Amino acid sequence: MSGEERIKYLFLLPSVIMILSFIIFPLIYSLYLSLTNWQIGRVPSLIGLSNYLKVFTDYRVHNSLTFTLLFTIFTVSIETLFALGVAILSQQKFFGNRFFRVLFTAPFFTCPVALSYLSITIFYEEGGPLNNLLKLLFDIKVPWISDPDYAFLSLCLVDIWQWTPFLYIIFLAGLESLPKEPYEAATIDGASSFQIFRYVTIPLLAPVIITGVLLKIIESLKVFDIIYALTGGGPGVSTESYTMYIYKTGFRFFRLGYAAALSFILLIILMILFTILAFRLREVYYE
Amino acid sequence: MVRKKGRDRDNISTILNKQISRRTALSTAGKIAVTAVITGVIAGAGGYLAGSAAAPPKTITKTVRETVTETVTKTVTTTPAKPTIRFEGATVNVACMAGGPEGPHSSVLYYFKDEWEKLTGAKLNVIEIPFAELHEKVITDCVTGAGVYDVAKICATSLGDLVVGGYVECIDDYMKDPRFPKWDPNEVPEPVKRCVTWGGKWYGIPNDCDGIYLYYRRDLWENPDYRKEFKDKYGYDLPDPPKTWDEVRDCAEFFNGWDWNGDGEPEYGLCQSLKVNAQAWFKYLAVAACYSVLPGPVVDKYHNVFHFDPETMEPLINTPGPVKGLEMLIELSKYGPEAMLGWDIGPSWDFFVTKGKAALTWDWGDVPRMAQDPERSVIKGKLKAAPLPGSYEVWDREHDEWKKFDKPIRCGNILGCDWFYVILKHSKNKEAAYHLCAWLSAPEQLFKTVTVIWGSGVDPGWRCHFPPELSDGWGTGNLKEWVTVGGYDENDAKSFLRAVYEQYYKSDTFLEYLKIPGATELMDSLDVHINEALTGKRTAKEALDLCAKDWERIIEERGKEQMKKWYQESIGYGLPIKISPE
Repeated sequence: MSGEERIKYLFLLPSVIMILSFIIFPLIYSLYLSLTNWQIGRVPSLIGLSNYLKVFTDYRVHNSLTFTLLFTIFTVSIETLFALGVAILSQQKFFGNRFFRVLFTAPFFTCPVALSYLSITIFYEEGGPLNNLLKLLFDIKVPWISDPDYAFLSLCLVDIWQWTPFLYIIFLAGLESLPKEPYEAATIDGASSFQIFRYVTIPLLAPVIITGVLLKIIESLKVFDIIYALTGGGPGVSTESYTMYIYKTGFRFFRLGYAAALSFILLIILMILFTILAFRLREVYYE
Repeated sequence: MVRKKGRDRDNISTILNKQISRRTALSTAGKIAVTAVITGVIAGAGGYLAGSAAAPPKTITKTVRETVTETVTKTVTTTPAKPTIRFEGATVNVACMAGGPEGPHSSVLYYFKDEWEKLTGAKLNVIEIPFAELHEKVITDCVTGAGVYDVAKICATSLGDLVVGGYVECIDDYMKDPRFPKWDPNEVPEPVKRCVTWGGKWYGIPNDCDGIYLYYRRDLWENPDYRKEFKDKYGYDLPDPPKTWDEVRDCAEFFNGWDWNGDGEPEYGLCQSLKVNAQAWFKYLAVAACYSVLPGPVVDKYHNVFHFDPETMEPLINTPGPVKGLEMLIELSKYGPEAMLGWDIGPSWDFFVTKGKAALTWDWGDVPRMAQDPERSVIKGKLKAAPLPGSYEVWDREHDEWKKFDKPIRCGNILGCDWFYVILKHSKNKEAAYHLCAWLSAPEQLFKTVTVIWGSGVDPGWRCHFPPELSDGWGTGNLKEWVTVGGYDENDAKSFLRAVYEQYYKSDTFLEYLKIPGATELMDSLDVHINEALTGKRTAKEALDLCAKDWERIIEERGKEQMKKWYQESIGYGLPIKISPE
């Protein structure tokens, strides 16, 4: 190996050390932790796959996974449709279009915790602005936080309000970059607006849509902050997300071994999901 | 439609290579600026509104401190501690709940900081940690050996983890050492004493007396029309104070759903903070204890225990006593706003003290203090307090039946964090650390803490807090000082202090504090399941059966025999019960 080649490795060394220190070591160490019964005040001992097997009998894991999946499906679907609709709408020329674009993206740049505390005020059941309005218009009072179903809805509304702009930005960028020729060809062929949307826009935009949805799904599966601030996982455990349960297990109950196992399961779920969607993305891209 | 890969590449390359004009750059910068401003406004508004609506009502430290500090020096019998020992150059780092110079617990440290530093030559460094992270931060500091904190003002639920992990210093020797400021362990209520000791040894320097009491409206209870209406409806006098939870239920039902304060809107019978993942389980224990804790001369298998059978570690949470307590709580919750299920303590305090929309509540000693703030309270001078109600029957596990009594059995409690100081083992300045804690718990400082520092979060209960006339001659405090120094309405102060005294020193038994390792997890399970029962998802029995199942699993996972040993040590198993100060 010549001196010039050796120096290449020397330049690579900092990156290698960083990857080993901050990615590989924590990953291996947490894998080790997940195979132990480490708790505060107790010497950790290896217990094999017990922590992973316990997941099958832990009702709070089932509950939090169900909640997280429902939350993800609900919010991502609505956000995707809404963002797509608004992105198409904002491509039209109308007065105040640019201002509207800026305004619509504002929630995305807001700190989620601040947003959640703002939501507490909005959803406040005794004299909150939303219930005051509902009472004025329909003489009803909605238990936004104290009822399990409405608590779910409240969280979804907050998430939709904050994250729709994220997908909107992605979709708008995608729409703006689409070529004009297929539209001209479709118009000459006499296609209707809906046909153009269905057979031109959607296929051309598919890679962008899948990318955006994939990123949002990953984000939704990790939802924590708005739940922590708005409902605390309640009523009961009806809005306890999987990541919130991991947090409680690790940092409140100090069952670090079990928390590590739960985290690994989430990692595996995310990796499987990512692989499937990435595969699909590749298919769409090469169609 | 077929999309050509090459065309895509051309498009991307066109975009990447495109030059941005000055006009476009300025326009983009403008948009970013507008977005930033809008975002800032939204975040700011969120923060402001959240602060005003979600956070606990602010205290009025400023007003009182500024106006009465001078009076304190004249009226309080203060004997400045002599600097018997100095710690020049030492720094004591104290971890405590974040609240700033006027918030709970941290305000005490800020208030006395200069005085203590002058007294000892040491430096006091206050390290504020948000409540939700305090336990994990202190434990992590100990486990990793980082050694950042010398002292921690902790919630009692943390004590088990710290003691069994060997992370805190036993203070028995320090207590005997004449060089340090004196605080008398016999002037602390028994439940508080049991909170800070473990296996007969002292690990914490007590400070707060975190009990829950019943509060109700003097103006309503003394209204002759309401008294008559109540008697007509229920066939007995409006109980003043309500002595059982059945009476509380009747009162709450009576005052619920009609306009009793003339504001044109219906009011509620009660209000409470019942949000999950907050502090609702304390409010449940306050109700359930009197049905479940059988009084007796010593702590044994059947007497003076609530959570576990101390000989088998079998959970008792789904036995008839606690189940009846939960059923009562569910019933009571019908007489308050539905929103209570999403309330932490702040909104509940706001509802009772600031809006004056509920006739009664049961809560910590913060309520009477907040009620004295003329800027935030509509109930100053209208507040009555009483020890928590009791029950004529208590579940007797030994005979598997409800044991009847001639008078309501009251169960005193420490239901909250009962904040106290611990010296961490890895501290390099243990003597200075102990000096600080002992000095803060000496009578002179403690009196100021509960009266002058309104935001202290520290509640009364020590001998020095009670005027003799309200404590059967035992107390060494002065009612006048509560009024002149503390700014209390005299009747409110009298009622409150008598309630505190009766609860701590006149109860028939008291609820043991669960502070074994894993207490946080055990209480989380209780919290979740009582919330399920309150929201109608399960019956009281179903919810507590599930809770018991969780508790069994947690105990098994942590080692049943070891947990039994710790539980017995933590509750003073086999020791006699001593409630009265005599």
